[in-house]
Amino acid sequence: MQGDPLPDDDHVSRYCKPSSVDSLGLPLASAFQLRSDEDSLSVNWLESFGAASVDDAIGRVRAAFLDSGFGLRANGRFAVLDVGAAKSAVRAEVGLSLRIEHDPLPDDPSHAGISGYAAHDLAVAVELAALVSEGDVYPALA
Amino acid sequence: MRDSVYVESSSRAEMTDALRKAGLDQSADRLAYLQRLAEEDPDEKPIALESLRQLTAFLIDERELGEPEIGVSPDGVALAQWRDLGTGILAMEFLGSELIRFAGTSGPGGQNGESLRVSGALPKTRALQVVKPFLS
Repeated sequence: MQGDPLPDDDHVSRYCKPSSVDSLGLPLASAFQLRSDEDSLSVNWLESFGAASVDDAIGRVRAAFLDSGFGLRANGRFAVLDVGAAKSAVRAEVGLSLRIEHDPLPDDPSHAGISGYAAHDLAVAVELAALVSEGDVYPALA
Repeated sequence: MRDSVYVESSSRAEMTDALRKAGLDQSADRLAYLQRLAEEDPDEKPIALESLRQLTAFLIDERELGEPEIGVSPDGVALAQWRDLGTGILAMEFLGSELIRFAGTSGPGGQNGESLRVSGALPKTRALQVVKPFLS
């Protein structure tokens, strides 16, 4: 339901455009930065699909993006974050309390948002990027 | 004349050339790639010219730091990032003025068991002093 906090044990994926993917295929901090006119970072709630694996859930996210007309790029990536780990790292290291909440859209019921920080909070983007390792990254296109 | 003085009045192409002249081919290639993305994909943002000039001058003047990964913020600010400490990350944003915004974290597990974090916005010389632990 709109505004419900996601459980700490659950996961979200963030689509990282090619410009925010480094030479190793990992997201740069810019993948987690907000635009100055945004108040939350768009992500997808993976457990909302009830899929058997993260791979399957990412497949559903890809389909949701394509169904809504969003062009995924071959050099883009999906980065998966653990909800509890993200909130905990940012609280401990930056002192901000992130909110990670369900924000379903008509054509994307898994849509969620990360809020509680601003475009100039580079430290938050860096903490989130530091949580992502190779095993948490999936190709944007199957 | 320092290379950065030349960069202050350069076009995008001239800045790429200046990077190649300084032996920074990886950075030149990346900036050309980012520019291509911005021209071809409406979802991608070009790096603002003043930010690009500041980044280019920094890369040339501080080339001993090694070539960072380069990206662009959603608002068109150039971002350089080093990921040299295992899970640690240092990112610098080139705000197009004298200031560099920076943030670094030793990441999960810390550096040698200790958590290390810096953030702020300072002129280059001061910023480099503050982020030194992440670049050594």
